[in-house]
Amino acid sequence: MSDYRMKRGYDVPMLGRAEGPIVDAARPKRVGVRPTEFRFVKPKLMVKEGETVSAGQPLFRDRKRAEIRVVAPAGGVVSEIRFGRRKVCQEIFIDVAEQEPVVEHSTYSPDEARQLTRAQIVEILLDSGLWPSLRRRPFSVIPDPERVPEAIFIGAADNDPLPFDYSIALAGREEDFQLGVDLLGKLTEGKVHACTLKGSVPGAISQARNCEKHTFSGPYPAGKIEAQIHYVLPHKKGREVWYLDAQDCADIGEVVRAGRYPVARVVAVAGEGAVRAQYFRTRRAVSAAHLDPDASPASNRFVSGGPLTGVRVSSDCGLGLYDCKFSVIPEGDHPEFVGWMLPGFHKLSRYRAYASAMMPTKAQHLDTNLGGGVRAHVATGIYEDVCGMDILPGYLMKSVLVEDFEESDSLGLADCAECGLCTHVCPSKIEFGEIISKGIVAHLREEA
Amino acid sequence: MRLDFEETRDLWKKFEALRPHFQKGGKFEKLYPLFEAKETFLFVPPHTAKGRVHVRDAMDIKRLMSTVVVALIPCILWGMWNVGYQKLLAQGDPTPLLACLGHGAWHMLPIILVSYLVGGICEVTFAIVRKHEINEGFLVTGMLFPLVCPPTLPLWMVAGGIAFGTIIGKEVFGGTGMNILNPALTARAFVFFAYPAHMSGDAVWSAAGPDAVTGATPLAVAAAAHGPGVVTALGAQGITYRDSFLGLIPGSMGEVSALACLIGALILVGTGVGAWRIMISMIAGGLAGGFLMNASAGATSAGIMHLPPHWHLVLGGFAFGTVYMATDPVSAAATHTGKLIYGFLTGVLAVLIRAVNPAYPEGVMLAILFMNVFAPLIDHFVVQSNVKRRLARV
Ligand code: SF4
Repeated sequence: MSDYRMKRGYDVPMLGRAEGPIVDAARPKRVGVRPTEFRFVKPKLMVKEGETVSAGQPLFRDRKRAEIRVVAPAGGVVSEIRFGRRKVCQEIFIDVAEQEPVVEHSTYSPDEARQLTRAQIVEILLDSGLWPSLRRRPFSVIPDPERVPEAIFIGAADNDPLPFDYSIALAGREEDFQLGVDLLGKLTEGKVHACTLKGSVPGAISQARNCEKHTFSGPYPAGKIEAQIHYVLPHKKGREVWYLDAQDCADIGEVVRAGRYPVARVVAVAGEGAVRAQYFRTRRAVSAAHLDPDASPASNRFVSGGPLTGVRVSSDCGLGLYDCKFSVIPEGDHPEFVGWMLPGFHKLSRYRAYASAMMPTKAQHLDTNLGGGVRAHVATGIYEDVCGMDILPGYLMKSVLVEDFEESDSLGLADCAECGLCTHVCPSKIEFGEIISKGIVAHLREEA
Repeated sequence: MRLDFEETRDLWKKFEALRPHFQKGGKFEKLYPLFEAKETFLFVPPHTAKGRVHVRDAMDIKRLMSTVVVALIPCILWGMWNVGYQKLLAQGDPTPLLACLGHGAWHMLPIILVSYLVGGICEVTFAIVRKHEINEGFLVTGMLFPLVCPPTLPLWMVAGGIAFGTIIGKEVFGGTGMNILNPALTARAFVFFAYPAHMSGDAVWSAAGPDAVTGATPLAVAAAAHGPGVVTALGAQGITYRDSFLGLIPGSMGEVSALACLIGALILVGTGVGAWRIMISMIAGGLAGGFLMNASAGATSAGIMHLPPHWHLVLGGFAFGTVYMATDPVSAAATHTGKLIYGFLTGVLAVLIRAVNPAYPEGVMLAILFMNVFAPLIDHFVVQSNVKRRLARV
């Protein structure tokens, strides 16, 4: 058990945190999968519109690595496939059948399961469709099954501006979680690490055996698994570690025990725009419109994931595989008359140049407005203030812009937790995150 | 408070209706930066976040730069009063508050106006030619430059100086964010070297005219004095530490009062806009430089060598340079550690220049310009140590 304290970072005080207690959501009629959410995966579709699929049946695979398949989170009819520019598949929708057809796999008792070999476990994960839940550091891509990671990290923490409480999500799943930990232990030659926030350790983790437990405190991104890994096993040349979400770890236990792709999920809806900002017992790939039908899509942005890291989705599109919450954020697409000159009692800023600085931790209305025009980069030093990864974000960003990727590597491209803070605070409104992520893709291309 | 009522929306719509004329293919396509500037001046635009970071800090460059201008207000007001005060004093007239302000404004406002006008025209012209947005940085540059000039500077030199500063100091490097030198200081250096008679000597600091009895600036007095009795020599000219701190001495328009600069510093640091690392380390550097000189001064060395370190902080442009000039985020060192080194060296250098070259006692501005050139190098070493830390991981 070790305890880490992060010094740098920033807690954006936002309104609309999800509240317990958890409720059961109605059964969704339709779920949606987004093939674009998997970094560096070129999807090749394995189903057609109108086709009936079983829950757990592959929907698409990676063009380059055929064994990496993403499966249907529900049984029913593929009712719609949306394509974007250059015929890239954006969303696959499934109308959930009353009686869902399900792909059945072999089942094992916990004792049998613990006797499985590494190769068997890998195969079960690939077959069942749980493999894509694993990601690799550096660069957060789905790992190569052939490789053996130095360690595996389980993330059970979230302290972004609209945090998700893992204690709620893992309640009652202690045994599956433990089985997951034990199976993951066979995939690595090192240890399994479980990362939580100090003071809110879910029961499943405090009881867990056979894993290193770490607690973290400090401002965001102290609860972000990529940042936590950086503190425990920072990236160095040749090091590869894997990580996954705690709910996925329990799912690994469940799939081995029950032989079916686990579709149940605890999902939160949060944000100022949410009407029902709470926790739901529901299923994978459910849409925001289903959980919170009263939140208006006209005046809100639906984000799969957190407000600093998530992906904008349409209200009928499903929650991403790696996400456990929807953030519903009011759109800020209206001009504000002489806004930059006003005292700004309600303007949220880490600088203290608005009157709101008198109550710095008070949550304020915050919408998607950029807050100003895009300007040239000015080295104000604020990026270094918020970056918890000992990166100089300004230099990293510039190295990617001039495509000096060797320089990007030495400036810590692989360390970046993609927490979004440098983008959030930038007074020049530069898309640091997008630029850095371009650098990552360029790096992956070279690596491939 | 949010000004978001019907009328402002109508105004926005009227503006937007004009947009096509300024966009590609429109009649005034070339003038798009002007349109953008006007629109973003009146409104925070309705642009929303595009990438994965959906909520953004309310701070923008416009607010950042205007905060600096706000932090300059104490210096502007004090300078205005002091220009009038020194003038009336030299003429032997009474010095009521309003008269001082009035006389000060009479000399100062035209210089500020010309600086803004010419600087603005340069900025807009380059924005149009280069097709980029008008950068609000010129709001700061256009105000900084007049404040470091003597009140007697002819307007055409003001115009020439600011044009030089904007074009050579900034635009030839590729515009805001790319420039190495502080544009306002470049402007000042240009005027100083091109027209030294108007920027130095005893006569230029008072707006009283050539015939009035004008006092020498404290730095000139200190440079002219000999031996350890420099403070007495200053006192003989009626210059006390208190007066120098408050700014009751002749000097450049905006930089005489260390007190006003201190208030400005509080605003800048309090709002998080100014780099406290540079301010603190530069003061430390100035004091260190002062001690160094005291230690090496002999009985007959120039008085300035004997000047107690804390005097350096309140004389000439040291305080103003520390608070407003050295902290310019574009030309200063960008890394945290780099800022500490850069500030310290600037402080030491400023004091050394004062001493080594008594003919040019105002070393601060030169020191900052000099260190502007070295800032990228300092940053380079800081970045390299960051890279090494990463490589050293085991
Ligand atoms: S570089 Fe930016 S996104 Fe990456 S960890 Fe630092 S602040 Fe976060």
